[in-house]
Amino acid sequence: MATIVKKSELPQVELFTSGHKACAGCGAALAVRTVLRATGATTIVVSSTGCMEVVSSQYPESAWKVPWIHSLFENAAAVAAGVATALKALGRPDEGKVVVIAGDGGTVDIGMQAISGMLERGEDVCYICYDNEAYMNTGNQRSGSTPLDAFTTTSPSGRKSFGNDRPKKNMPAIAAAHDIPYVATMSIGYPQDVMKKVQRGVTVDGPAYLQIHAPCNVGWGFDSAKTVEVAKLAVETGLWVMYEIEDGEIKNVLKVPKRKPVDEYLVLQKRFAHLFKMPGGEEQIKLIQSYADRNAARYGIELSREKRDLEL
Amino acid sequence: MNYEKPADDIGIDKRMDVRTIDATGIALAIIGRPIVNTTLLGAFAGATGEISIESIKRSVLERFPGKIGETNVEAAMRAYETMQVTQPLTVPKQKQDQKERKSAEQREKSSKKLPPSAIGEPGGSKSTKTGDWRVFYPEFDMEQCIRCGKCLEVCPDLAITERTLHGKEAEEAKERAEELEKAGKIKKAAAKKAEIQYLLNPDYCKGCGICANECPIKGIKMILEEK
Amino acid sequence: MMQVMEGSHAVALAVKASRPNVVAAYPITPQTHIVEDISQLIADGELDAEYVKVESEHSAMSVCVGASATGARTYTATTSQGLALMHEVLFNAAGMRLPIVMTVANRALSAPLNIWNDQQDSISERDSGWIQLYVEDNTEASDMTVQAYRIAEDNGIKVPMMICMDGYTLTHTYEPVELLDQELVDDFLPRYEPVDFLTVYDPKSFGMFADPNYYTEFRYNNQKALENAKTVISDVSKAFGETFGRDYGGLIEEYRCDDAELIIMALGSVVGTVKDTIDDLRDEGIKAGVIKVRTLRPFPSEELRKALEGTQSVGIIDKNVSLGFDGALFSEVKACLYNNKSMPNVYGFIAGLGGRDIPKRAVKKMVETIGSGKPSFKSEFVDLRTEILEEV
Repeated sequence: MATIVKKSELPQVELFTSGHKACAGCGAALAVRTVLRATGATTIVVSSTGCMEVVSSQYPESAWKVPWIHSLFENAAAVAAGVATALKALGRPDEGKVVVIAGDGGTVDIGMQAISGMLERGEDVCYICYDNEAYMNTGNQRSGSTPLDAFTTTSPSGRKSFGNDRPKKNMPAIAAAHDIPYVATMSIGYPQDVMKKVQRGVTVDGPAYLQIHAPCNVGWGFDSAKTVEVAKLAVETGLWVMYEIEDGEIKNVLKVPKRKPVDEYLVLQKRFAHLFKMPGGEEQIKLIQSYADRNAARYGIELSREKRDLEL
Repeated sequence: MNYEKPADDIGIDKRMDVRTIDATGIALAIIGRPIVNTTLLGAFAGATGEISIESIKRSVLERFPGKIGETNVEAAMRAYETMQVTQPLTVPKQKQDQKERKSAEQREKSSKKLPPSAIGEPGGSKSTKTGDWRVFYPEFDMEQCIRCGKCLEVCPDLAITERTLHGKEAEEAKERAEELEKAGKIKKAAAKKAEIQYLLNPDYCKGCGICANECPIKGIKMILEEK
Repeated sequence: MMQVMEGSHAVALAVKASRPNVVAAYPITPQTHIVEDISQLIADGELDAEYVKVESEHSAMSVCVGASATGARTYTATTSQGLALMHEVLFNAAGMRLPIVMTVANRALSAPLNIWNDQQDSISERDSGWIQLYVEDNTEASDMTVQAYRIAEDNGIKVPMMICMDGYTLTHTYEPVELLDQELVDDFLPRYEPVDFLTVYDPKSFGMFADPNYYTEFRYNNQKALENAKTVISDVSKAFGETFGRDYGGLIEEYRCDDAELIIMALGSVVGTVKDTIDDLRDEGIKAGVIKVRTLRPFPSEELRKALEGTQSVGIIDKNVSLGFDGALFSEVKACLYNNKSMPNVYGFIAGLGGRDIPKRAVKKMVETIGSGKPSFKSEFVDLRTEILEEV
C-alpha cells in the first residue's frame, strides 16, 4: 500500500555530499540527491559506470554517505542481486534496501540482460534509472532512450539527417512485462513526487523499477538555470508521462491541466534547434507532437473539461 | 591559465612558465557570456607567438560570421594585447616559503597508505571546493523570502541549507520582519517564518542558477561575482 | 574414506563442505554437473546457501562480486565461452580484491565450436589477477576447492582464485575420491570475516575510480598480493596435509626429478599420463622426470629455476596456443630461465587441443624429439593429421 507522506514528515537527511564534480545545474545530480533523501541511510547503493558514478567517486573523494559499490557498466542489476542475496544468506535481511542508481545507457542498452534477469528472478532490489536520454558521461552519444530527432554526437542532425531516427525505448513497459510489484516514472521537475515514489519502491517486497527523467543542460543545450523548468515542460507537453504500474495496471497518472504544445519544450533545447531551421523540420515537430498526443490518449493525462474548470 | 590573479598565487612548480589572464572577465565584458575559448586563443598568441593574431581573427570570423565573430575577435585581441606585457615570474621570499611548506603538506597527505582496493570514506568529496567553478552568485532577498524551501530542494550541490534562529536572535528577526510587514514592505508569508534563515555555502555553489529560476517570488538574483 | 564418484560430484561435495553463502551458476558443458549437483544439495537441505540462477556467466561473476563485497563466501563455476564472457568481470573482481572461488572446467574456445578439453580458456585469463591452480585428479580438485577459500580469504592475500580441472577428462570421469570430513573442514576453514564490506553501519564506497595518481599503486599492491600468495599456497598445503594427510607441496610438484637429465612439464590431468610414461622410461634406464606446474599464477619462477638446475633438456606440453606466437607455458618457462646461469634446452609441444587425447605414445615421441637434436624456437604441433592439411 502506498503511504503518502506529508512534506514536513519527509526525511531531511542528506546522503549525497557537496563537492561532487557534476556540471553546474546537473539534473542527474539533483535526481540522486532527491532519491537518497527518500531512501534514507538504510540503503546500499549499486551504481553502474556513468555520469553519477564518475562525478561522485574519484578516489578518495566519495560523495556517498551510504554504502556504495560500483563494478562495471552493464552489471549493476546483477551486482545488486548479489548484494541482496548475500544480505539474505548472511542473516542480515533487514539491514537495508539495495538500490541501483544507473543511467539510461547502462540500463536500456548494455544493461538490458542483467536487469531483465534480475527482474525476472524477483530479486529484492529497487532499480532507479536516471534518464538524461543519452550517454552523457562520454559526451552525449545516442542511447536507446534518446528521443526522436534529438541531436547527439552519434545521431547528429545534418543535411541528410534530422538527428536520432528512432523513438524513445519504453523501458517502464519492458520492466512491467516482468510482472514486478512496482514500476513508476518520475521527473526531477517534481521532487516531492520523486520522494513519494522512491519510498514506495524501497518498501515494496521484491523488485521495483523507477525511471526518473533528468534533463542534462550540457548535453541538451540549455541554460543551467532551467533544468527543473525543462523537466516540468517535458511533463506538461505530454512527452514524458508520470504514472505508477501496480499489478500490471497503470495508475495515478499525473494529469496536466493545460497540455502545452511540444514546441515550447523543443525550442528551449539546442539538441532540437535544427528542427526549427531545416526544411522538413516542421513535419518532424508535428510527428513529435503526434507522440505527445498519443501519450495523452493512451495514459489519459489531460484533466477532463469539467475538472479543468473546477481546478481553475 | 584562466585566472584573475597573478601566476605566483597558484604555486605551480617554478620551472614552468605560467601566465594568467582573466579570460572570463574579458569574455563577459566584450562578448557578454563567460565563454572563454577565443579569448584564451588570443592570450596564447600573445604569450607564445606560436600562432599569429591574424590567423586567429581569420579563423574566428570564418567559424562565427557576423556580430558573434566580431565580438569574439575583439575579446581575442584584448587578451592578445594584455599578454604581450610580460608578467614577472620571480617569487618574493615569504611566498616561496609558503609554497614549499604547502607542498610538504601535500606530500605528507599523499603518503597515507592505500587500502587494498579503491575503497573510499563517505563524504570525502567535500575536500573539493566546487565553489571555484562559479561565475555568477545567487543573492537571496531574505526579507521577501516566504521560506517555501524550493531553493533548498532544487540545488544539485546541496549548497543551500536551513538554519533556525533561537532565543534573542530569533526575537530580533521576528521584530524586524513585523516592522517591515507593517510598513507594507513585505508580505505576511515572508514575515511569518522570520526565524528561519537560508544560508548559501560559497564553498560549493557552482552558480547554476536553478534556485533563482525556481524561486516563486523571484527573490534570488544571479549576480556576477566580484573576486 | 574413498568413494568412486564423478569428478563434478566430488567438486560439488567440496563446495558443500566449504559452506559458501551464495552460489551463482549458469550452465555450460562440461561444468553443468557441478552446478546441478550443488542445486540438488541445496534443494535437499544439505547445503545452506542461496543459489542465484543467473541469466549469463557475466552476471554469474557479477553476482559473486556483489555478494562477496557484502561479506559473503561465494562460488561459481564455468568454462570456455562462459569464462570468456566474464572476462571483464574477472579483472574487476581481482582489482576489487574479492576472494571469490571458481572452478573452471577447462574446455576449448570457439571457433570452431568444441566442447572438449584443452586449457586455452583459463590460459587466456592469466593476466586477470586471479590465482590459477591446475589439478591432476579429482581428489586434488576436491581438496583444492577447500584450500582455495583459505588461500583467497587470507588477510594478506584477498585475491580471487580459480581451480582449473580438465573438462570431461576430470569432470565426467569416475575415480576413487577421498571424501572430506565436514568437521575437519570446519576446523581447517574458518568463517569468512572480511575487514571491509558493504554495510549500513560503516558506509564506504567500493569500486571508486583511480586516476593516474593512484592507479599504479593499486596495481602494485595487486602484484604484491599475488607474490605473497606463493608462500600462503605452500603454507596452506602443508596445513591441509597435517589435517587431511595430503600435502600437494606448493606451486610445483617434482616427480623423479632428482637426477633427471630430461624433464617433461605440463599443467593438469595429462601429468598423470606423463608420470606413467616417465616410469616406463626409467625402466628403460632413461633419467627422466616430471614437473607438474600447479600454479600458472602466481608463476613459480624461482621454484622452476631451482628445479631445472642441472637439467639438460625440458619438454613442455601446452594444451593451448597463443595464436601468432607459442604455447603459454613454453613461453613463460623460457622467460623465467633467461639470464639464469643454468639454462636447459627447452622444447615446446602443442598437444591435446579440442579434446584430442595425449596417449603415452605421444609423450614418448616428444622424448624422442628431445633426444634427436637442438630445440627449435617454436613449439611443434604433436599428432598433427597432415593428411587433411594442405600445407604443413
